[in-house]
Amino acid sequence: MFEEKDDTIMARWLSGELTESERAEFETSPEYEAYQSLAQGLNAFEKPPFDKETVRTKMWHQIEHQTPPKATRLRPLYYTIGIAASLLQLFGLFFNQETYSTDFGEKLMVELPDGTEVHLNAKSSLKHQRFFWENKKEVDLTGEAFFSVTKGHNFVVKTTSGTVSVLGTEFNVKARKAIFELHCYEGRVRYDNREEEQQSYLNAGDAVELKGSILLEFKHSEAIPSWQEGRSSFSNVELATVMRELQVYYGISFEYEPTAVEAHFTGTFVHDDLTLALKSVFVPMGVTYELSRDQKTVMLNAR
Amino acid sequence: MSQNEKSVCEKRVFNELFDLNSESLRNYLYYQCGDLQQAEDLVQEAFIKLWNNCKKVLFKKARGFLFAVAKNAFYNQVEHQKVVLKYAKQPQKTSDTETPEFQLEEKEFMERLQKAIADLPEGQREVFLLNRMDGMTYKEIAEFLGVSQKAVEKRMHKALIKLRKTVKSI
Repeated sequence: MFEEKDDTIMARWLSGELTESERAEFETSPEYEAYQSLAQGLNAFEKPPFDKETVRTKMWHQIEHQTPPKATRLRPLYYTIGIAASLLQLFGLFFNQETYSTDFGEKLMVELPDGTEVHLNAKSSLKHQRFFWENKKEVDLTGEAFFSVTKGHNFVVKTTSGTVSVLGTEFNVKARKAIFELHCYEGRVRYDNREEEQQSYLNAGDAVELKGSILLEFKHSEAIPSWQEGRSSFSNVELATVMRELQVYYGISFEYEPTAVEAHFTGTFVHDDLTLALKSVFVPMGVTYELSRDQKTVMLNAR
Repeated sequence: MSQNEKSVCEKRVFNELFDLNSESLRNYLYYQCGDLQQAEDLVQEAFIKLWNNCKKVLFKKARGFLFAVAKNAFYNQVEHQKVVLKYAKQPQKTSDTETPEFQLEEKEFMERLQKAIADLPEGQREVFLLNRMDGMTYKEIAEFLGVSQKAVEKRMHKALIKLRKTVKSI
């Protein structure tokens, strides 16, 4: 494709710096028409309005009314700052944690102070510092969340199974009891686990999973995590793990003989219909089950 | 009198600097934060800083000083919104025999383009808009952002491809 000839060619087209032969080639390329209408459309945009004189007047007004700094003001100012700082510290002790959490089957979208979007999946919690968070962008996560990080530096997600560090990107972290999974959707992230001495860099389409102390690296092909579309997908996963996921979305408990769940499941269940979800997991596995009348307990029959 | 000898502390000279730089500074700030009011406040702040340092800043360094102050302002500002540009109602005045269908398509196209621009990554968006809206050349943008011209061209290139693809796929 013409637009991929080199990494600045479209910029040079727009500024009229293409050579004669490049231009001829571009005009016969399939994208030519799309770019032509793009350029035409761009010309229709107007500069945002600017009332220069009002800003000028305000500016001079402010300049003329500035209070010149006085040396005598320094001491009381320090004093005030001191009080303010200790109050802030005191305040910080009690209120400096911001916590978001979701219950069974709940989902929550959180926007962090820097514009980063966090989509929190069911039965998960996210904690971060309320003040001065921008200086050290760290969040603690238990459970599962999808992050769409605004460009910035050193955004860090801490979990019990290691930390994930990023630069402007999209990724999904799942850090539940004995499960850790990380999927990268855009950009690049780094995964560190000091205890297990694991480290891995992930680009878009890469994923890792921690199994015990082994880090499995693999590829995924989703555009967004399936849970964001209201379903969970599994590929050759122990049935017991799938059941834990069902608990997360529906707050149910299971009664069963250990032998009933010795199998691996491949498939999907939805998050908003318990009957359908149970059917799609257990019917293909050949497991018969009964749902209690209060819809809270599922009894599995041995096979 | 050469430009170097002009004193920034003179009101007339200072107003001249305001005429030359206030709008592009405001636009740059706007492309970053997406809030016109906030951008204007920051413009004022930058000029007040320049006034307070007028003895130390040479006339020809004033523009650099203003943009440096403006850039620093973003380390302190939190609010960032999407930049939504307005467009003229009749984008392409080609002829007045256009069918209603065509006009509708055109409107839809402009709306898509508007959204696609708002959704550009920050680095690409600022370069793109400084070039398109404020007519800054790639070289000027590079000097101003403190990156190489090649880097500016790369961002511009990516922005264009991204716009083409998003406009098509929405």
